[in-house]
Amino acid sequence: MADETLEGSLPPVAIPAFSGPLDLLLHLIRVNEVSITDIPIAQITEQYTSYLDAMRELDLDVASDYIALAAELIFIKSRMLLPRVPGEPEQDPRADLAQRLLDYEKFKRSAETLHAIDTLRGGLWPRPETEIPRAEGVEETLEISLFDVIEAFRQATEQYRLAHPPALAIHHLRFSVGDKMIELLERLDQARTMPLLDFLGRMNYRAEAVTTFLACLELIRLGVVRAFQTRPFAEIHASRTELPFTAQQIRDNYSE
Amino acid sequence: MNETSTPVAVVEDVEDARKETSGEKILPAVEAVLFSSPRPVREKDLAELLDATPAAVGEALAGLAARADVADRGVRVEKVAGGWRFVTRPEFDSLLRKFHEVTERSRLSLAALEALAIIAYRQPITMPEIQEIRGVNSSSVLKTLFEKKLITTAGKKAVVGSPFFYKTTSDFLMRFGLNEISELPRPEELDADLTATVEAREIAAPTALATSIHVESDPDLDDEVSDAEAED
Repeated sequence: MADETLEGSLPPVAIPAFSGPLDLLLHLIRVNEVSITDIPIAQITEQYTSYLDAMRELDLDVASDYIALAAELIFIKSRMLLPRVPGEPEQDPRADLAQRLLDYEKFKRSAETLHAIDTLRGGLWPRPETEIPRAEGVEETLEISLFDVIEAFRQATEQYRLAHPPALAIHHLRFSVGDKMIELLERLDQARTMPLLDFLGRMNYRAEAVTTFLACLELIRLGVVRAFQTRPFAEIHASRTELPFTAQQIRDNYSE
Repeated sequence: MNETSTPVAVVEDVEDARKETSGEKILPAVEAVLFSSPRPVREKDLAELLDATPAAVGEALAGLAARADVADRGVRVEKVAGGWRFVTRPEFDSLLRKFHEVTERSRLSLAALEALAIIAYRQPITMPEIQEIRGVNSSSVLKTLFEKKLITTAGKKAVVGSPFFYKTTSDFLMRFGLNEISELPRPEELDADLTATVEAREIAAPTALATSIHVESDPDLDDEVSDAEAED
């Protein structure tokens, strides 16, 4: 059976829709007419994996849960091949799986009962739910889910936001090294020299001062600007060198 | 008993009326309320509304059920989700579907029914626990059940990741014709024929509401039901 499945482009039998790996395993146990508590692991594992191959053949998405159970089956199979350690309590490696299958089978049958009831009761028509207008002040008790609460909260915050537009929009001040390099060059082109420490000290924001300082260092590194001091701790002056440099070059290289 | 025969007298002499209102007298009023209500009506609410004793309300409902059952009627009353309501008889399903131009009813997949059964029997239960039993990822089926209002959340479990607890809703009870969750057929009963199980529940219902779908049922099944031990 397994070989046929693998050889043909399509499996010999239509694959029924399984609701999960345990469902497939139960199906194989039933088809082979074996007991859940005494599964012939080698035989069932082979059939199980050939089903997975057939599913892939049909381009069905073989979910990881199916592969996980295949791995478990192979693990059990390998444990059954190992000789028992003398003195250790004898335990069937299939016991856990058998218990899980028995549990699952119980719920699978419950699901079938629910289906039977649902089919039977599907033919009964109750009065459809309608809104009956309530008198003012009558509070209706509703059964609501957590998600209704989340949705209500979302709507409330949205309404609040619309009803309370921000009185004053505050934009973050952003400074860029490139902009400051251009500004420094423009000033130096006009004034030839300028007192750097005094210029930085009159800035309104720390971030602006830092950015300007970095811009200055960059211009010095490029050799476009020269910094000098007459004596230690005195004012540092900046001046333009002879090196040609344009604002466009800065924009090209320092744009964010 | 016959002294307060008019509704006016009922209003004027509440105490006496309460004692003397018989089930037979309030039956039409009960019928009117059930007819107009989109949700099952609780007996307690009927007693309060009609200023009648619980016994009288019970009598009226039993009378209503018996009448709807005996006479050639298109509707019957049933007790679901803790209340009473009118539903049509099953033999008119195809007729009603034709009239309302409904072709296919929304059905639950086998996977969704499995998850629903696990929640129904083990509630409250978390998604990891459901997945452990089913051996497969169950988030999409839970979403379906949620959208159909068959399940809802019931707090969070105090473990790592604090997953939600899930439980069934009153819509679930209505859909599956249960008055309360304890009426779910116990797994032990599942050995019996499925339709017999369904039939047994119909018989076990407090009123003699035999469905028109008659299935051979085991007469001893009711005893087996009560003898069956709770699974958990």
